[in-house]
Amino acid sequence: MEAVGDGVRNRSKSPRFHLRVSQRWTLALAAKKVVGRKLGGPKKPVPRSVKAGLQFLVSRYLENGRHAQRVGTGTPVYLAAVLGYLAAEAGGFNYLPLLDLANNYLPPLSQ
Amino acid sequence: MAPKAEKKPAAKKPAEEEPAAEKAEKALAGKKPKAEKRLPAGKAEKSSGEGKKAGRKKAKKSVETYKIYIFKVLKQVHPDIGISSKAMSIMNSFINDIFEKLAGESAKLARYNKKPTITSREIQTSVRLVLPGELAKHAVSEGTKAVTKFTSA
Repeated sequence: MEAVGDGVRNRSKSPRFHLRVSQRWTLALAAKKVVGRKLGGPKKPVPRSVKAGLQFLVSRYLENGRHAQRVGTGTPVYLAAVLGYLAAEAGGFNYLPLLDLANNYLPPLSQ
Repeated sequence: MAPKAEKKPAAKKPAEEEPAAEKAEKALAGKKPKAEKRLPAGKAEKSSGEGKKAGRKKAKKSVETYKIYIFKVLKQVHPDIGISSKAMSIMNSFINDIFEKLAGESAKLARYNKKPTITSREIQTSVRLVLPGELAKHAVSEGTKAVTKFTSA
């Protein structure tokens, strides 16, 4: 009878030990996540002209409230691209062929 | 529309009166407020509001033009070719004119559809309406490509 009692006690102890181990693991993972975030650090701001691969400024001229209350994020990018293209075209700069080579031309999405 | 047209030539005239060196200086000076505008814009709404206010105050002092960007495009395509100051002024006026046309058309489209937002879709439709033939096709291609690259980056 005593041996049986001891067995029961041992069995009860082992799950507690496992729980503690799992808790330790979760804490370690959380610490790693936090450290990872800190090590990554805040991203440096990149100008949108560079993101879009344009020479014309991706600016906020539309946002003076004269044209519309709200402006989408893609709007100044699209407009800057069109103005840049027209500047090259009207100046007789022969824009398109060199652009294809220089900027790793992507085929336009059909909408 | 009339007051806008009245404002812009008034802004352009002093730029034309000044010599080329001062134009170049102001063009360089023009970079700084724009660069400063971007950073607060990236932050929260409140700071972006502050950025706008600061931008508005500075915008009165400095004259904003497209000249440095026109020059960049020229160097991108013909590295050896230069451009005279009068030709640069003409190109600057041309860009402002096209901008006004596209922006006005986009505003109309947004109003017709009863939406308060101008998106890239409105700009695309405006490009198709304003520009003739092959120009529109190529412009749409350029715009779509730029937006795709922007979103992927």
